[in-house]
Amino acid sequence: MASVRIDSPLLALGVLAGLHGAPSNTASTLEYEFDQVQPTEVTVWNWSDSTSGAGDEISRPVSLLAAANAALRSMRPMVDWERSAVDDFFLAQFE
Amino acid sequence: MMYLDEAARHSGLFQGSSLQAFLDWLHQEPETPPLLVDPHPDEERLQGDLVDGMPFAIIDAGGAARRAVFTVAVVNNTCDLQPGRSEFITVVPVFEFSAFEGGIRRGRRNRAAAADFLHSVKQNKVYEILYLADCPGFREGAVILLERMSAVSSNLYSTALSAGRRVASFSQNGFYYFLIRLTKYFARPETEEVQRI
Repeated sequence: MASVRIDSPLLALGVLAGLHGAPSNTASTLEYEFDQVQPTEVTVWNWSDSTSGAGDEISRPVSLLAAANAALRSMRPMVDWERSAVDDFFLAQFE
Repeated sequence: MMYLDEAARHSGLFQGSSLQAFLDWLHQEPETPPLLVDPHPDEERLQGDLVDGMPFAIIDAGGAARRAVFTVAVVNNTCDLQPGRSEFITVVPVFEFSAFEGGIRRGRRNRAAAADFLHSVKQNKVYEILYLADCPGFREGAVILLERMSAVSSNLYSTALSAGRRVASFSQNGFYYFLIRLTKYFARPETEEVQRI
């Protein structure tokens, strides 16, 4: 059984970056690419829902791309006040 | 570490020995390694290059165009930057981290929250912002706002190159990282709640 473990958001990004490495930009090609590498079991560390802070290990039969997506979703999102602060800084550059 | 090698290999981004080199580079501690170096000596037009003194425009809430001059990072693929390819290039703004930090701290009363956010930026955990710990032209660090794009005349780009206003080029591993970040921000999956017809 093929198995792969993704315990780093950056590594998950690397998996998604495979979109750039596909020989063409067609969806069918991308599906083919991921079909060729799809493992039968993936272990992902879920940071956002972890009670220990160290991450909860989730093992389940999912595609590598889905696992990468799950890891990415666990990354810390930008909250509204932070977005507003960046906007204020950016707009100030045009004054 | 073998499982890390296996997962990275599936990305399809790397060829030959570049995979292991990237993994070694990526896992350096404590923060993201330096991404940019001095401008490439032979290739004049490269994706991701930082160019100083470039005009940048936005349309504000009132519908008016507003202009400023920034150091920018060129987003176009290297192939699309060659002379005669297009009348325009696409750029994103680059700012000194100290200026960015000052703006964030001044704009927020909650010092702890501002510090926490800035810490996340420096760890490159914020989707929209690429933090550069150290690179030519920005020895104290810089941020690239990946989501703020502007189209600029290719003629102005050529003029900047002729005037020697290239500031930096991505290293090979830094370039992989740049592509990963662009992919992450612009091509990340929609949430499951989004249903398309």
